[in-house]
Amino acid sequence: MLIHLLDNPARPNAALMKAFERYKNKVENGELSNSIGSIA
Amino acid sequence: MARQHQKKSISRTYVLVDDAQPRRILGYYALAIRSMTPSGDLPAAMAKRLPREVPGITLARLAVGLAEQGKGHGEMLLVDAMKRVRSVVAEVGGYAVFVDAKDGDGAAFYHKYGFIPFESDPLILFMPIASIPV
Repeated sequence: MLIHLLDNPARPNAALMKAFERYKNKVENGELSNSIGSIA
Repeated sequence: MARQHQKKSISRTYVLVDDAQPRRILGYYALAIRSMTPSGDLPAAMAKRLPREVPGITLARLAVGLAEQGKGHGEMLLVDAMKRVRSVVAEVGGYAVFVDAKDGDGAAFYHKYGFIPFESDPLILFMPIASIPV
């Protein structure tokens, strides 16, 4: 038996989608020269 | 204060550092749990489909150093925060991510990315989790 999560699709904002794309490209192309991490 | 909140588990603060100079903080943001009452704050059509109180996450104190502004760090911090929010909510649930903008310029920054201002206070904005890109 499988339990699935109910999906709630919504169209993301175009600027936010582009921002996610830029972020992904920076990570995949190794262009992300700065790091984000939690403070201790 | 961020460190005190971190110690007490009130919020979690994430910093963007320059890899070449790891002690140099370029920007930061914090995340914390938040609940809100949809009636009166959200658009009526949205509020009527929700319980009296809904859980969510607050994106707090997103900021970039003055000398580092205009380099895309704010957008990178925002995307990083949204990815973390999505990941947390995938496990425990949550309706929206909320932000308290410092001023009109701050609100405009979030609005550009699809955040919706509260009807009761345009400096408080939210985005349904379902609207965060996968």
